[in-house]
Amino acid sequence: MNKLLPILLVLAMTGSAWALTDISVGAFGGLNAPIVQDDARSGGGFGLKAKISPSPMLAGAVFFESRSFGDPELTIQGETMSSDGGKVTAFGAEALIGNTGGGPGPHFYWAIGLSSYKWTRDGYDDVSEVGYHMGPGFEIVLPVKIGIEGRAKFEIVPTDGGGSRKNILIFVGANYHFGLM
Amino acid sequence: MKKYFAFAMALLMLIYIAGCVASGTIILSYDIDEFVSSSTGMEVVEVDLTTNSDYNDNKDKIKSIDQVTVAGTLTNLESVDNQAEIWLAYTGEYDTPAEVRDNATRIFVSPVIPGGDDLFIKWADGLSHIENLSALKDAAEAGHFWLYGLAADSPFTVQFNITLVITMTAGL
Repeated sequence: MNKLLPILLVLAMTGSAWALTDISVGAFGGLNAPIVQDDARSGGGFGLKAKISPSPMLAGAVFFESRSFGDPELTIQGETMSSDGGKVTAFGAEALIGNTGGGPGPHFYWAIGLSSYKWTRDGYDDVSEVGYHMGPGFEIVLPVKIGIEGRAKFEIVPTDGGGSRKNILIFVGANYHFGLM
Repeated sequence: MKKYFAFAMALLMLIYIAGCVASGTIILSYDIDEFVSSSTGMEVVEVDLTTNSDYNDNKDKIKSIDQVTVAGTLTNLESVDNQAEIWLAYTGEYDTPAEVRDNATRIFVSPVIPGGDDLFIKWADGLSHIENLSALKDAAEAGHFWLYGLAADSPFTVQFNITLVITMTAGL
């Protein structure tokens, strides 16, 4: 009985069997906002991801993001002009810690990860670096295995010379949970 | 032992990221006083970026010069088509176009300017006419250099009314 107790507790906490091990795929979109970067303005982005939760408390995900920055503006000789804000692609992986299972109900978690980050702009050398990110997420999973998710990421991309590019990303999206493997 | 190694690596990564966090990207524009340069009266301008407050505030914290370009108006005062050129040097002592071509670095060539006409170079357009960008970035980091106004063909008379636009990353 003593050995069974933890298992029964976990089952009770997760609410359903498919919360124990879950695989989900999803799409998301939202805001891509630079921090202390005069040469870029806020833009948008979208992405796709796949997540596996081997336990209710821990998950791993891979993702792809396609984002853009708004064009920065500058007034020269009385004329306001802009330069290309550029586009970013990021392929990454992340670990999720918290309530990461796929069972129905609310799930709050923290994510930390890295990505292959590429920023291309007209007239500039491409920035191809490893980016790091972390931030909270919240998902409400419905009994029909669809989850509505919102999350925020603080992203930092170290660049040559010891500086970095920093962005705040705010995404909302929907996921489909396949449930128990 | 592995635990300590992983901890040390994590600590080093945190320190590295923390160092990177305290930086920002700044765009500054440096207006160059309008000047006319000709094949018989070549003009040179001294650029001292420390007179720009944005540059001066950050000159000791520059981490990288990300881009330098030229924007503004170029006027061809001759009757035949020509291309304006800007050359970079660390001295203002060259007296002739030949001396400049032998010793300085060409950093900008404009599109063809029709005779008696002018051309406005926008910020985004200027990027595609920059040459020897690494030399220009080095000069921007040094903060003090000279620019010579020339043209592709002689004789030439060109009026330069230009602004240098510098994008740089600096510590906060």
